[in-house]
Amino acid sequence: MTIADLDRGKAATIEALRSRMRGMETTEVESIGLPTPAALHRVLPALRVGGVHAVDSRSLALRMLATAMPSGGWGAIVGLADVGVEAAADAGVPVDRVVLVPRPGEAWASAVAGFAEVLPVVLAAAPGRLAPAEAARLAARVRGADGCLIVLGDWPQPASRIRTLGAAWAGADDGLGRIRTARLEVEVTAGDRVPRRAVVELGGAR
Amino acid sequence: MIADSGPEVRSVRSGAAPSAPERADRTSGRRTVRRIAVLRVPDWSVEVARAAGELPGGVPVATTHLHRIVACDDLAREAGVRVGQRVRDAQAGAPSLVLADADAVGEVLAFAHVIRAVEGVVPGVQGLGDGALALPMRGAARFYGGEREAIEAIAAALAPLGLRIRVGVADDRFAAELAERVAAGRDVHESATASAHGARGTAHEHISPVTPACIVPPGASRAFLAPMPVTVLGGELAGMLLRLGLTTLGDLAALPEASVRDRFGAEGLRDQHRARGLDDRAVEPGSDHPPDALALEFEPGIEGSEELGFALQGRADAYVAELAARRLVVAEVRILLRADLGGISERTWRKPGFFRARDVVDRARWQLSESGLDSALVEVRITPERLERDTDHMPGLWGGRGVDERTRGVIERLQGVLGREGVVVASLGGGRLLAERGVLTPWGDAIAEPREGPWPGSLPEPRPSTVFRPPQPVTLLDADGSTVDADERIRPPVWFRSPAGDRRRVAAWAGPWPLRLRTGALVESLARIQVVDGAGDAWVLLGDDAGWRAEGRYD
Repeated sequence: MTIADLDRGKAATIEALRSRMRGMETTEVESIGLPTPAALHRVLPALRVGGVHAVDSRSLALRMLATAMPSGGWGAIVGLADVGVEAAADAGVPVDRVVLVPRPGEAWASAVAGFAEVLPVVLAAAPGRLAPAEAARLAARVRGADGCLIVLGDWPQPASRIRTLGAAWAGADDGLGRIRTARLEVEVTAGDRVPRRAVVELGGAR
Repeated sequence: MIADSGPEVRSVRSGAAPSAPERADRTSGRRTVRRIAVLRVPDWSVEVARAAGELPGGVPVATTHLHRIVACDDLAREAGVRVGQRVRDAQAGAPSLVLADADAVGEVLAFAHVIRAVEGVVPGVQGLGDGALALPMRGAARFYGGEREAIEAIAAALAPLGLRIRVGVADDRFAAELAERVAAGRDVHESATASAHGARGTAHEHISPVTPACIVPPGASRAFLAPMPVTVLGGELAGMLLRLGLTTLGDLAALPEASVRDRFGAEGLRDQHRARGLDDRAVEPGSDHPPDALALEFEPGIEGSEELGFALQGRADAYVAELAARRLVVAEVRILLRADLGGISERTWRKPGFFRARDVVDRARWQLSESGLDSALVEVRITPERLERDTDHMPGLWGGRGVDERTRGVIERLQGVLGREGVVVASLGGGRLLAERGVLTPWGDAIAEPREGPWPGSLPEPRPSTVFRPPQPVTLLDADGSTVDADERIRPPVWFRSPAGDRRRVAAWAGPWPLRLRTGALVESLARIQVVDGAGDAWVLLGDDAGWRAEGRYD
């Protein structure tokens, strides 16, 4: 290791601390939105704060939760009783800072709205049925709270909608190999813009 | 043993003659020593609730907020109730406990009467919240002929209100606050240690029985504070100091300043100054309680939400800045809109973090456009429903933090509806099966350490994002339509029937991998395979003599 390396390390540390200090100051992040996974940058650069975002792939939803959660902050997962904890951790979700309500039942809306009012991002499985009026009321509460709700499933008039057109899980071959990667082809509709397609590669290649 | 320490403190008296430091100060006069008194009405929240008729007399009573005890009276304390305790636990210990909601706004408003009464005796009073106030003591002591006399004058002024008080006096505010706690003779840990050391040398005096008070002589703050535990500092630093083996304020005070600054930053330095009896917070009269509300009236009334935004912006900026100067932020805000013809829209807004001025203005505009008020807007009233210390909203630099109080409130409310198991936290566990590698623990319970590995045979990445608890029965059929048995070698599966019952073609598969599970002396052999179906999903299946079950799904 050379002196230059040490200096670089120091500079990196200082920059990291600076960025942390910046994070403490009041910023305009809210109006920009929460970050999205790199594979979606081209078609969905940010999750609009105060919006409900619908996505139909659980793997992708977990990745979106992971990237949207601010470092050191908490998140919530509502209504995913059978979520794979390891898969969530693999996707980058800090599972020790997530509150889960696996089976909210009748309390679905109050759980989602309650968390959206106090946490920056909430992932919730769309309930079996939700009256349009109730959905609108919930969306209004999320908007009022500057929360960000990722709904796994469908949602009336979401801020953005991600629909999986096709998923290919690759690596298994007539008894040999094992599943190693996945390729999701998705169609992203943000607001009233024209739907755009993107390809998301999932899975550890190890 | 601890309970006896209160009277012990009372026995420590300095006598009539001024103590050594005080004399030195008078004769040399080389610097002006401030004297600050901190006065508290004990159990203020309970007093207010009682005055409002919400709590009866003669039984243990307490006030609560978000399922925790805010304040309680002596009877409740005797029954074991503690401030900060969960309501459930408090009720378990004291079944006859009568509860009322703490009324934060009412407490602030009612305390204005106390401040006014005290100001009649000693000018320049600063409210500190929670039934406490600070006042400068030097002038008052001169006027009334002594600090003890000044305290009695204040007590006499408050007597018509029927309030008891406790007083602590010292050179700086931090020491005065702790002296007030010592005067209670109830924060036993502090008084126990304080009396042990106080007996030799520093001698802080105690006035009783008229008004419980503890007077730390001039120049004696540091010695008075030295034996107190670092936990009185509050905050995260205290825990850290304890882990480093620094248990008392004296330990912290003795550290080199530069090291404290390097290790703990400005906050640590501030705490060290306090530990040294050099808290530089002055009494700031007038900044007693935050502005109650931001109220605007419009004449003539205004129509559109844009116009409201313009009208509100400047005032909201000033309002939030005024709160910020007191290191407060708005965590919840109630907005009331009143229209010319009497229509009213009222709503409470919440959001993660806190409200900046722009956030408040946005909420008011949204509320107006959604309110359906059918005449011009003539009044806006914005009331902070919940104010919090701005430090609560700083990410912790010195280690991790739990969830904030409001998130805890949501969680506890949900646990009230769904039961304790209804809200869980996840952690990674040991084991070979997917379900045992992701552990769900009820919120509030201790999370078990993961079992020691290694775990040969556990599934590598990628892992299914759905894990069935318990695994769901499925069927695998070969090309002839007969069931594929779970074995070390299997016939190629061609059809797959999902847990939902629909038949899907097998596009690809891998395995089987043998899995041996030990439960005590019992060894269970399973086969695990992965199946990719024609519908875009992939599955992890477990097979044994009874057939196949879906353990997880990639989706």
